[in-house]
Amino acid sequence: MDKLLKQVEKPIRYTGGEINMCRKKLEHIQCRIAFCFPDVYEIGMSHLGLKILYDLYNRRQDTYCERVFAPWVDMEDLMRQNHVKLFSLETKTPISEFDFVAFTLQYEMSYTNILNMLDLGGIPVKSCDRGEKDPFVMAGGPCSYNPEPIADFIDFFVMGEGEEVNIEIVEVYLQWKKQKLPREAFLEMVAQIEGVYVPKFYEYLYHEDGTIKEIKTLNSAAKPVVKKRIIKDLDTLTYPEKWIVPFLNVVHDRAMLEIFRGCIRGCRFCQAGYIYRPVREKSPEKLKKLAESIIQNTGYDEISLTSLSTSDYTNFYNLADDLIAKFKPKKVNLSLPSLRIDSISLKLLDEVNNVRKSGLTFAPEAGTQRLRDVINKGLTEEDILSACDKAFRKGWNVIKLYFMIGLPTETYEDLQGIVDLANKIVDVYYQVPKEERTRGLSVTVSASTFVPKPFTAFQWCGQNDIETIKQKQDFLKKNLTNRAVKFNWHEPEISVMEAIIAKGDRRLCESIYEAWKSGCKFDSWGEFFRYDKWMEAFQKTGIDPTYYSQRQVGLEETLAWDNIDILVTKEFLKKEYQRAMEGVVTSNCRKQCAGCGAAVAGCGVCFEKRGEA
Amino acid sequence: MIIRVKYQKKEEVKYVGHLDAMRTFTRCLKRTNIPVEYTKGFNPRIQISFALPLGVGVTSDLDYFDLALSEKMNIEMFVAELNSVLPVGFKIVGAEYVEDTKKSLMSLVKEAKYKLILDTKASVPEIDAWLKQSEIWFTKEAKEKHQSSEQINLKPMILDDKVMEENGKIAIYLHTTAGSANNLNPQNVIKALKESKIVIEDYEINREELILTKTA
Repeated sequence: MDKLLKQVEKPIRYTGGEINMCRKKLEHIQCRIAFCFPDVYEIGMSHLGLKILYDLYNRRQDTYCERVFAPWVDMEDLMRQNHVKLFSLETKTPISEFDFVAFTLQYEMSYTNILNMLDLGGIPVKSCDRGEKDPFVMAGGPCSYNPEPIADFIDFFVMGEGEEVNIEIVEVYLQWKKQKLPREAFLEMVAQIEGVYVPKFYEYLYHEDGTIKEIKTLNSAAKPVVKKRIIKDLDTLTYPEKWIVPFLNVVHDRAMLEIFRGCIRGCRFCQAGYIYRPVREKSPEKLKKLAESIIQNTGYDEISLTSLSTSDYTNFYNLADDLIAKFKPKKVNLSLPSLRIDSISLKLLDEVNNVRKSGLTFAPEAGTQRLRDVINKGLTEEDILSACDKAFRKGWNVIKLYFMIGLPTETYEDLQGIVDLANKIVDVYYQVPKEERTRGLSVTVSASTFVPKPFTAFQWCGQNDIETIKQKQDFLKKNLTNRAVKFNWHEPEISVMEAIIAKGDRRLCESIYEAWKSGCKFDSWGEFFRYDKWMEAFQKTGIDPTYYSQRQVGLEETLAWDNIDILVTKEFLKKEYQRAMEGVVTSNCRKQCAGCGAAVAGCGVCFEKRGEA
Repeated sequence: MIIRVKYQKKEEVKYVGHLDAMRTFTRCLKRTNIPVEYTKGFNPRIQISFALPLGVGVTSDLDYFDLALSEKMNIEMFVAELNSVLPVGFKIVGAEYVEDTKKSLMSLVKEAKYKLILDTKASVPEIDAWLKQSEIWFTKEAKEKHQSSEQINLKPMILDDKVMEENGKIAIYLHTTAGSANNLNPQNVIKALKESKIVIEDYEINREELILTKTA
């Protein structure tokens, strides 16, 4: 092993031993969980969910959760040559010896890595080939809400927030183990837990045209509709205070404080905005206490407040001021990655960035008010321009703008709107008196490609084909000519793949298997993504990928994920889709309840007094 | 005031690179109540400086860093408190207050002692003869494309050497020059051995001691 480590780039990815790594004596352990992140260490160790679940499991004396990451290709080659199985960082145990192998699904393009990690761990890649001695392979995280494209590889999925359900699963497992029952019995037991989806207990029947006819339940233990789990009161949760501090410089190398879950905004393309409903906040008292102990236990010099649209936290500025005051003497900086930029937030940013002013980021997503109304992005041109004016006067000179191209109903007028907005920002800069602004304006326009996602108002929409996306990108390249403006774009192929898999059904499992067999892995890394191999895999397995990505789905069709309940109703999403087509905006949750259905959870923003925001 | 700290870096953390190790020490210091001194300015940092970087994969029995404290602390308490938060593999083995000469710790590094353990079919006399050559050349690969590789003679940097068999492997004890000038990187000795067609299956390197110039 040591010999292998001497030959690889960044051996520290594989050795563990970091500050606060959990060490346990194995003889007391009844349940071992290999928490697998299907990407490299630096990406996985930046992920908050890993730290939450690692902490949660390891608080139990009878359970030991260890970490596993996808080895980089140099390490994988050496492991395969030397017959070294994929192992955990904590005890270097092969993953095949664990009770559970648990994957987190953050991104569709990590699916081939899951197959590869199972294979590298000596676990049969397909669920149907696993026997009594193999671990149970489970998965959770945002992409689980459409489990179908990888249903053949995962024994069971967990829908929603994991803090309670994962412990229930461990307890059921311990019972099952004590009774020495067969593998199948555990799946039946676990299927009865709310939020657990066992794909082999469901069968998909199709019409002749390929659309879904029926989703049949095959086992009486399985629920016809699996409802996502949520935590009603976030203040009751334990939160990782002793989290692992990597030796390596990872992507997000700082303490993270989750201040609320969900988002009140309701952008119609945004899956996170729907699946995490309803909005629930942690109390400021709890947050201040947590912040202090995380910093004490990690020695980090930066703490970031994490959530969607952070400034929507009730009395956010009081919280931020309190934290700044608390941490200033300890030389700990506050970072605020997801702030809506307006005059109050600028004042705060001015305070936290007292030396170098990093760029200001806006996400208008669309170039015209018409299209912003379609996507329900409540950000106006006036908001942006007046914020830019104030920012330029305070010394900022780097502006980043995020847009999506290929949104439903988009025309070239909307693309021209992107160009116009960028130019107007440049004009605003030059209108600020020279002595008040910092020299060297830089406006970066980044345009990603719209990907229709399940459980959004746009889940029925088709995606533009590659040619159309390229033409739109060319239009922007040609027209964003101002010297201060830089244009960033991505090759559309990866966004097309994302759409195919995100909206895929069980018939895609064979294609993903085939793609992996033909060498696809690390698909989210540009240097490894092989679009041609994927297209070959679809062809070999008789799949027309455009059926998933480009087709406008009928509102009355059964969707592959109709047996999953995210609390937000399909009726509401349909209504939102229709309002989008009419260009009618929907208020945010605090202004007025839109009746999405999440109120059945009985908690959060749905039960606040309204009218303030 | 400056406290000079002796520490070890063992097997468990030998792949932690120099910069990562430095960051680990500063984070661990922040987890204690040790009265560290910060640099002035907008981006305050703990005032800490290390003696000599250790190659990735090399263990060390005795290394140093200097740390500025804002008030004097009992040395035993300092050692115990820092050890209580360090990851397994890093260990503080001693500390002493030193006069603040404004000289960097690195400039005080003079010599080092290393032990190399080789897993090889070559014999003790073969290795010994190789070390006794009048010149030991090694090719330093170019880091950047536009640079060319460089030939370096390691011999003048080796002050003393001893080769013996230990538990079926070959141990080389090297006493070398070290510091900002004439620093011998022991990993280059392994590379030079490999260049001279001696087959090395595996190896371990330990820095046994770092020798500082005594300050007045």
